[in-house]
Amino acid sequence: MTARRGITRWLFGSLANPDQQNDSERHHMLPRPQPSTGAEAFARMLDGAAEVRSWAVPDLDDLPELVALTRAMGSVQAPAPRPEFAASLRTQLLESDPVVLREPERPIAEAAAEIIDLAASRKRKATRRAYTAAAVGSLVLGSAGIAAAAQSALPGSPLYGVKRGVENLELSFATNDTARGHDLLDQARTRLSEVQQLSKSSDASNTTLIQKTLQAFSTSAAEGTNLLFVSFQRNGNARDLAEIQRFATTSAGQLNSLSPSMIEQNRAQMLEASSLIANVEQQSKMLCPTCAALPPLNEQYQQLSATSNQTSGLNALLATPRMVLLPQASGPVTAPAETAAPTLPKSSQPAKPTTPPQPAPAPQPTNTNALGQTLGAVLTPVLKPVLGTVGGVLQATTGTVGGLLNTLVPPAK
Amino acid sequence: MDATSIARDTSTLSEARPLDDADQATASVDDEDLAARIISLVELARSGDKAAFGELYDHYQGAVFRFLYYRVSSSTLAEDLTAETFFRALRGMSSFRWQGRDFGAWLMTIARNLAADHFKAGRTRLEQTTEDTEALDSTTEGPEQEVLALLTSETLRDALAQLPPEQRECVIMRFLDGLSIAETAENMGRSVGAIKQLQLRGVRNLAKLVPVGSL
Repeated sequence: MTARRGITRWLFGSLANPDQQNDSERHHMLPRPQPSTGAEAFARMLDGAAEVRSWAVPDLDDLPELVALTRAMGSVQAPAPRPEFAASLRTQLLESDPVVLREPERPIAEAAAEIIDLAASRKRKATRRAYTAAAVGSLVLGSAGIAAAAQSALPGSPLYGVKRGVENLELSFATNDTARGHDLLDQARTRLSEVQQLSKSSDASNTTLIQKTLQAFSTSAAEGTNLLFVSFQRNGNARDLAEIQRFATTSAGQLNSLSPSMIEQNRAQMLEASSLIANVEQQSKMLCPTCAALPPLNEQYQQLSATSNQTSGLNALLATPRMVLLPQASGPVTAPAETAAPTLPKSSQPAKPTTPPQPAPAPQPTNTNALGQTLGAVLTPVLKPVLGTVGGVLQATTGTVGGLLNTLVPPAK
Repeated sequence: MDATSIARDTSTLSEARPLDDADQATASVDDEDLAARIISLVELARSGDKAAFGELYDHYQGAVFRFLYYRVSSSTLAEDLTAETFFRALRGMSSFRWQGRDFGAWLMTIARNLAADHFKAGRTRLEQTTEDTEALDSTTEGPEQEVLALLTSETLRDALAQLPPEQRECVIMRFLDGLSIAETAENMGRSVGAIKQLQLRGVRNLAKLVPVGSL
């Protein structure tokens, strides 16, 4: 062994010193039938190659030992946590604050439940059923009063999370994008009035809240107007644009009425909000110059429903989106503009835009109020009618009680 | 631990999953049924099912503990960090996204960060004094069984603790966590070549430290 190493060293002395830094660079120029570094040879042997010999690398003699050591490492008796520790941790985990539920857009739990080994989960189902009964009971009793009380809550107040949760819940009832768009604009309006109220107090700690609320305004506004623009493109319904324009006009007015010092303090957020509004206003006017003259949505709905039964389904969706629980018919909805024309002499069917409007990009909703979203997310799967199967509903409600509590009690750090 | 990643055919699940990470769902187990089951459990757990999380805990707690055991100085600390790992996982479950890696890899990331934070905080020093006197006699080649008999998880951990941090991490990932060279390279942010060098240096140094005279 040693003799061979000596000879190799002697022959290839300057070439084959594996400790040299430039070792690996040099190897690219060499033919590679053999490993050219010890590291390479070791890697090959770990992969199962028989003992590797290389003329280029003399220091391979210890490699079999090293490989044996790594194999031994792999089969060292695995250390395990104490069983009592593992068991108590499991209990703690399952009794801790519930998982913060993400709002499922489709009933994922349901589908996954089908795949999961049902036999093993039968026992779990029984306990879940008990949990569910308790959850639903306490929800019904407790949440209505709290939700009502939360409606006037301002950012920073304990019930504000509930308010946002209820908003998200309402949003989840919207059965199509148009209704979602309207709901989101409603939310944006609420955010803006919150900003106005917050800006009246001189509390310095409000600045962060104002900024967050302004951001939430921009997010909802961008998403809502975007949905309505898309809805207009799809349905050609001028009322969507009218809604956008009304929203833009009032929002612009409210933003302008904020005090200069407030604007100065929250420059970035103000800029974002007002440029968004200006952009939206411009786009909607470009698409439909006469739309702003349309009456507000609810009046129009009443007029329409008085004269037409055909479109009442759609109008009901649009006018009272949060009351509609029926699943929306899939496929494009026909525009009710023809029926609208007789009652609304001023509005003609808007010309289909030759170039599609560029909806304002909808930023991802920022997690401005995790608690608020939590409640919405928690309630949604329970109440969402599409969560059909018992398994899915039970599934989703398991964490509900805790979720509600979690909303009211700030999580312990 | 010869785990192969089974990229699951998720066509049955993809309709149900609202997130667009369905094609990334992976479970690193040989048994295909188990892999499907783990994926389902993850799906349930991230939609808020605590019982499902409990089962994931049962499946992974040993691995997480082992992972931490070799990286920190005591079993007690490893247990504490195991608990913290699972609590963080529970809290972050709803934001878990498949990234083409096993769910366990996500847990290990949490665990690794916790271990790193722990040492950053300086609450504990890694160095442990062990008797490393009789470790250097490596003249005869001994069979693997002899090594095994003498190599316990404690001696191994003590020896690992004396390696330079990068070598230690590399050796742990390669030979205890069972990661491939490529995976180790990715995890450590190094090149494949660098990992090959590192593992050889690490194992060479380790061989001098483990009290296995017969090697």
